Amino acid sequence: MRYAKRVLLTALIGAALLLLIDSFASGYHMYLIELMGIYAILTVSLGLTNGFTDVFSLGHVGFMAVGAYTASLLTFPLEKRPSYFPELPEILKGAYLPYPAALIVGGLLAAAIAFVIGFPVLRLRGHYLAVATLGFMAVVYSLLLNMEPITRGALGISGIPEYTNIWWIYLWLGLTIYVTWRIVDSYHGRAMIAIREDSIAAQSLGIDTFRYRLVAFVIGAFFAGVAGGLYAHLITLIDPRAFSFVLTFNIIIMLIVGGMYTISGAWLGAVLFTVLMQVLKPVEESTGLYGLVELIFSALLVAIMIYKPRGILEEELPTVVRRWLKAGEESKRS
Amino acid sequence: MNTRNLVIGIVVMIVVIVAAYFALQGGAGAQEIKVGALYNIGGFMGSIDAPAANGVKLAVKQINEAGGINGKKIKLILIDTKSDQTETAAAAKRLVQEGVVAMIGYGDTNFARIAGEIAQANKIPFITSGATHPLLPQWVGNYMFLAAFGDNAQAAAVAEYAVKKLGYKKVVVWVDVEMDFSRAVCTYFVDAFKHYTGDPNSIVYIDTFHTNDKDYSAQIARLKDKMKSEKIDAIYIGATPGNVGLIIKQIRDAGIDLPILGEDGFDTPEMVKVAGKAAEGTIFATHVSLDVPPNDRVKKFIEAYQKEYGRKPENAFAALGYDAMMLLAEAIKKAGSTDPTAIKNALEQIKGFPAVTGTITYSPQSHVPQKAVSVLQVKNGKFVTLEQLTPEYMPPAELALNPIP
Repeated sequence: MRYAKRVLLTALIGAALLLLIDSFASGYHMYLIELMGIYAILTVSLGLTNGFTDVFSLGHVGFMAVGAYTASLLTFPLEKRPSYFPELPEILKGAYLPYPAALIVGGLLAAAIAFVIGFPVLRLRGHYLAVATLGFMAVVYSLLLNMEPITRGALGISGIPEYTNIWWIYLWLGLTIYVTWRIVDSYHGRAMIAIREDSIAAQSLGIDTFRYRLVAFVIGAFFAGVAGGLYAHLITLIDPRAFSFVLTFNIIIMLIVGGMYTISGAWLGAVLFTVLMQVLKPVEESTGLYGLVELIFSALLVAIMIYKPRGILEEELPTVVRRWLKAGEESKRS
Repeated sequence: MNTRNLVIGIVVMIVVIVAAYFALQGGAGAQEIKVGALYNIGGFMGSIDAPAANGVKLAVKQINEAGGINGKKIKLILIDTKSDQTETAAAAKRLVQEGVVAMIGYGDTNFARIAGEIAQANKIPFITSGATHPLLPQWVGNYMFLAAFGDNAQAAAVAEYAVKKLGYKKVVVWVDVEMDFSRAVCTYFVDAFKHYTGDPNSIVYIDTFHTNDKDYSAQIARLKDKMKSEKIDAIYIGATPGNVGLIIKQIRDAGIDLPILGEDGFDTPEMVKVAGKAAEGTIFATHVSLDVPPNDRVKKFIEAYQKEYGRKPENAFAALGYDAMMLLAEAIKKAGSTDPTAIKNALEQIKGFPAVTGTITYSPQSHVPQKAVSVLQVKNGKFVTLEQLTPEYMPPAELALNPIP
């Protein structure tokens, strides 16, 4: 419980900040802050597998899609269901859940799927694992396109109630960061990092590598599923194309640029990505060079890989801040 | 380590300064009318949206060169949303904040719907240049307008032409079950064809295929089999640019010489490129023929586009983008004000507006233009206009909610 006070204080400061944003931000800026939060949930939860446990998964968006469709179906207004989903299976016709519960169910379903596919997939290593998880994403995409009675295929689900707001997003981001931090900062997290650094050495010390990889994979999938539900109720329309390779790689870029071996790096990547994207847009528009943003991002990724392969934040933010303060003291002394 | 950080720091600072410079430059003068345009210039929608964006830019250039609207120049804010729906919502909200008087955009129903709903919530008119789902204004609200005809109009036009001009009585329908557009037009066509022939059994049978199929021998075998026992006049195919050439080629290679009918999914240079001689005689409906311009308006547009971009318009979406902007300019002129609601009301009053892709008329009840559909035929590798017709019978838009098969 030694963290309790600090956690509470952080939460309070966060809430005050949100209140400030909520009362002053315009529609556009509000949306960007919301989007940033959802991306941050995705990157922090992906960091648990890709960063801390060395399970390079490309299937995160697949879990997000599962969560998004599940939550949307559960909150979809009952009276609109017959006209939107004429062939809906009997069980789903009356299945309604309030928004918070629907988010959790979406996350749990994603986690359950991660658990099942984790058994074969996590026996693979490195590139093979990356390709297998990418395959999972392709399977999800194909299912969404073809399970028409439930997903409405290429048409997508529209008219989802707009329940998501800044409070829900940042509540979940706080939870994601807290859970990830508690795991990483515990015996289990040390085991995960040991697996990342040298899985054979870790195994020889008695660490069950498969079990830890599975746990990381399942927890990551849960938060991806929740993020999907938040996303669906923010945009209010989902179709299979939204959960494509583009989003997968964008999330990976955010994670790698920010720093995938730290939690602060993961969310910093999400913030930087969202801000930079919008800041660079007017440049594109006034020069007429559409596609410039992608070029800059690619160049940035290459530069980061060369100069800072571990991302912008190699250490957690508090450590960096402490060091920076110390360096200031030293320079003052000299 | 330190030099590295220094280099990164300097690069980031330069980026921020440059961006801030451009962002501040964006402020419009009092004598300008701000119009927003949203297109997926990058990403999987690029082949449809990039030409449309060029069409919009061309229209703005021409309007401003002619002295603007009521003495005010148009300031176009064209945002590339990269085929990403989160970007679509961000861009639409940004346009609201920038205070645009109206928005134009998209050749896809779902993207138009996301942006349209944000525009609707802020009472700003949205004209979609290329989306053709006839229910779109009903879903989004009274600030949503279509520049193109609805899918039910083009399907009805082909049915009418086939029955009245060509005397067809029995057809076979092939539908792409993966493509929402294909299922909608095939549903409308089946309904319209039954209406025009007055024969509920005029559709011999309906066969299905998938968007990325490469081999259509199974469908062809079934067709050949059926041809032995029944008289079939034509095949109607809900094909799209990616597969239309291949389908036609395989049908002709199998020795079937039945006439082939289709919709604006056929309107792509790919059809003749892939199918070659096999494409000859194919009949389809689209917005306008850019190969053989049917009138001076179209000819002038093609010349202006060629002069501006150094190439002919890639497809009809370029003309639709141009039309959407011209339509908006007409509405602003008529409204005599830049108030979004006044512009919306003026749009509803537009009657017989001479656009490149046909004559556009709106009413408060209908935000889908009742305009002529061009029925084209491939002759010597070129798309020649057979007729421009407004169908007598319109299949109800709601049919697409329960599509075949």
